[in-house]
Amino acid sequence: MSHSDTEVSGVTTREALAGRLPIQRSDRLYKGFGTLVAACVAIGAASFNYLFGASIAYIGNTSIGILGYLIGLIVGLAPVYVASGLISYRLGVDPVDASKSSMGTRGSSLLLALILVTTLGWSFVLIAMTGQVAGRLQQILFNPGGEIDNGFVAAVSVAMLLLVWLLLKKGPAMIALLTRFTSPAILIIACVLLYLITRDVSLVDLLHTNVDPKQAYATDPLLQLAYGVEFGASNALTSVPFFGGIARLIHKRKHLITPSLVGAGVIGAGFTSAVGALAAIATGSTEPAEWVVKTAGNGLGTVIVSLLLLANLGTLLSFFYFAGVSVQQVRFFARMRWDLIVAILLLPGLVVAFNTQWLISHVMNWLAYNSAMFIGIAAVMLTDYVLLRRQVVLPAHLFVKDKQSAYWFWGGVNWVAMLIIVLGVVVYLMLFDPLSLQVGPTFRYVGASIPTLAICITAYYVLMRLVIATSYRGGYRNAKQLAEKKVRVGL
Amino acid sequence: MRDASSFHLLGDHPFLIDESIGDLDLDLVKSLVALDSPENMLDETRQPTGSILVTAASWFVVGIMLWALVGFIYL
Repeated sequence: MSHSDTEVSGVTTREALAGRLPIQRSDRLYKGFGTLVAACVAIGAASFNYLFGASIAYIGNTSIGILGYLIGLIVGLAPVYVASGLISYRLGVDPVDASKSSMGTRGSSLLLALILVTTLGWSFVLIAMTGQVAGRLQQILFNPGGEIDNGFVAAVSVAMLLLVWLLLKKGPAMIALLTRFTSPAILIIACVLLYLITRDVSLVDLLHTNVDPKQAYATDPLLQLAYGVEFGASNALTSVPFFGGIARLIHKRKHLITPSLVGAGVIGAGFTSAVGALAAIATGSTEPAEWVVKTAGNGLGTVIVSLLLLANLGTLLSFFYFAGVSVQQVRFFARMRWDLIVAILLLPGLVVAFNTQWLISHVMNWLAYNSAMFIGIAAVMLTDYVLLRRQVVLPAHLFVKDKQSAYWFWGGVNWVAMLIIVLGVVVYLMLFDPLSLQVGPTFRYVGASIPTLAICITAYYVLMRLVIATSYRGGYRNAKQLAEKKVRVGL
Repeated sequence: MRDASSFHLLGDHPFLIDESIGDLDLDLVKSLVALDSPENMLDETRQPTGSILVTAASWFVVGIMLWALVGFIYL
């Protein structure tokens, strides 16, 4: 085979990075530890973490809540990264294509739908929050005691949409470039905020200050710890649909887990949420614009809030990039120019800009239940690739659209996987309701995500072993023969 | 139906390609051929991932041990 025959041209490389083509290792963006940590910090440290931080404070014990949240991020992210990142890292494919080997050629549409709902949902919530926080800041500074100017909120939201389009049309390289600046900015802001809230009260005293027990979610320390862990694990589970999108851009094997976990988990989500929790305790306010101005004063407060909002761009670019790549599963989008795809994805944001409060209150409630679905998907992908397939997936068959595909299962869907995803939702909601915060009897000892994950892994393994023992479906038993079979592939 | 070699893809490839194939799908075939090329099979990304699994498992165990430790302290 001559080199020129197989060389992927510059145009193809660009298509691969902004599209669904497998990305060769030499073309991958994240070659160093630092750039990857920066990108992951940007994903994990959006400004809504300061709101989540307030929830951590309301667990009832600030230090237990923060510790539990950090533990939840670690125990949640480790299995999630293996489940959703391993195939994408090894083959350079997008997460929806990676999921075809376990969920089926057509069954992977479920993940596509969830990726779009999650990335676009959180992005629009973030845009709405940016508009709202800017509006609150404008009201505090120029109209104290008055109403928030909805026209100003809409103008800021539309400006953010425009900025995202202008930056993201340059492709994912812009994310790497931008996050080199936004991620340090996010951390510096968090450190400044931590300094400001600990000026009058020491950090140790703040960690030992708790909300009024009447307002707390729980008074039992073990239950408080379990709540903290569950909040962290739920946050970690939202990585299921899009971590593959980062994994396919990672160059070195040793960078797949640790920089991502430290960047998105410990530093990104963990540190900023902890600052949010401490701020809620110190100021009694859960609104970032309010407590930042309260602690820093009008001048410095305005600068900090403005930087905080601009730093959201790193998160927004990453989320819209994942959505833009995944939506190309639909052929109509696969043939479209990248900047046009981004524009179409941003369009609903214009409606969001004029209904920010409605979106925050309704969409966030819905997104709270997302974790329930992602546990089953993570269990299926992890068990299928690591335990059942022993890490052998046929890349060509991920792009075969008919029953010639090894991953056709039953009519293109692995119904066993679907059953497990439903089982995951049922078990999780029996153990923990993310909105009402009602819990089952075992919750205080083991939380909800980890036992649900264990049950789903066991059930999927046993059921699929029965399928493998009785048929050739899914290409588990005849991978070698299938690898030699001539197939027609397409995007 | 023609063989992949008509499109200057040498070697033995498991792809069926006809003349109506679009540029995008041809790019996909080329990418997949490159992915399964002998030189790429020796690449770090295609090697066994034991170290990745051990790293993830270690983080998970550390998290669980911290949970048990903090729980024990507050019990």
